[in-house]
Amino acid sequence: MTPAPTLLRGIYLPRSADGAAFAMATYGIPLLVLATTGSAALTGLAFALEWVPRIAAFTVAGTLVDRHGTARVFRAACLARALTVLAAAGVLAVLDAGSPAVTATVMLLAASTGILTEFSYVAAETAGGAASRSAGAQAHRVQSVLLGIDQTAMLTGPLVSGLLLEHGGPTAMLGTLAAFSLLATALGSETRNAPTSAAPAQGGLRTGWTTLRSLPALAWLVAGLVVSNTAIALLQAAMPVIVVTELGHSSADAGLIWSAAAAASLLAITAARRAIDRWDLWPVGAAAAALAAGATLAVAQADTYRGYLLLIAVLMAGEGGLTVVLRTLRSHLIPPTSSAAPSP
Amino acid sequence: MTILLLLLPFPAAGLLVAAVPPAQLGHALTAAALLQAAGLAAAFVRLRTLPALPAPAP
Repeated sequence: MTPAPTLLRGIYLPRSADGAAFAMATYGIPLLVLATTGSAALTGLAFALEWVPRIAAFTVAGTLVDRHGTARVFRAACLARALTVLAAAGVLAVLDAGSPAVTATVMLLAASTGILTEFSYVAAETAGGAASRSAGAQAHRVQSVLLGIDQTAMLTGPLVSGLLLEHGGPTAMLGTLAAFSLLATALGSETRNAPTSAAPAQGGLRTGWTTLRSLPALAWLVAGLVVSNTAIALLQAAMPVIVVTELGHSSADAGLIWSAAAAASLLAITAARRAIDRWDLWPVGAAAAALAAGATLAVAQADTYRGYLLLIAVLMAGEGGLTVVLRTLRSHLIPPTSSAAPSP
Repeated sequence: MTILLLLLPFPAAGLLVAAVPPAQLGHALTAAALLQAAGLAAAFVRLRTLPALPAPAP
């Protein structure tokens, strides 16, 4: 019998490779669409095409992971993403920029990477959760490493995507994205996290909705964060257009905005944990909300690249603090679930 | 469910950017910023009057 892999080999390394691919796909593909089509409308549409299947696949991914195990779903999704991205890179290399076939290719790429990334993410998240539970009293250490991996990927992914696109073109950017996906496939563990019996996804969603309705404090916080996420999502979708088309900066500069924002968010998450220990949830949450709302109002009036860079970093710092408040509140109010199907 | 709800604005934002001319994106951002300020203010005012948020474990 093959010995169980270590946490580093079985959980951390595959998640690092997948996290890099996740961040590059999320931030790089809208930049790629803008670079290849030059169309702001298609860039927004590609952003939507990335997220619609991602959300649609959410419950399905959880159910599949429960049914087939994390390892199989993770490796299949990463391999499929690598092949899809390589195929797109090949097509883009031989077609003329701006042709309808190029537009169709990048739009299909946005949708397919969105859905495949969701499957690999849910599988990696479920494997990480299982590893945390297995660690017992050391669970918080596992979670800290996982959070560090995710934050590092979000910190470097946007900038790397932008730099590769600017200096190496679509082939370099997509080639690197495919390489990370293949690496995740190769590193994906074969032995961890066997299938579990799953609750139907619909039932999980219904339970989640009922739980949310029964906990007004959580419901109000989630409602506030949904509205806040609307502003962040709009900024994320519009930033390639604003930075590249309106301000005349490069793809790398557009990526740098989100890398700087991820760094600010990471610092805020660390600070928020200490602040909650000292001042409790409400004051920290209210301060983070004021910071986020103030920064977004200022961003809406910004007209320079430096203004966007600084204010979005401040906004994401506030959002980081709000996320810690939400996670803390949720962990206090809702018992953890063992299934990969959506939780409240 | 919370994760799903938090992700829903992302595709909507993409569609909005697709529909709004680039020169008008600033107005859309201002509207979103005002909505965010109002939403977060309402949420935290309401949270103040609800049974106190639980204190973190010592």
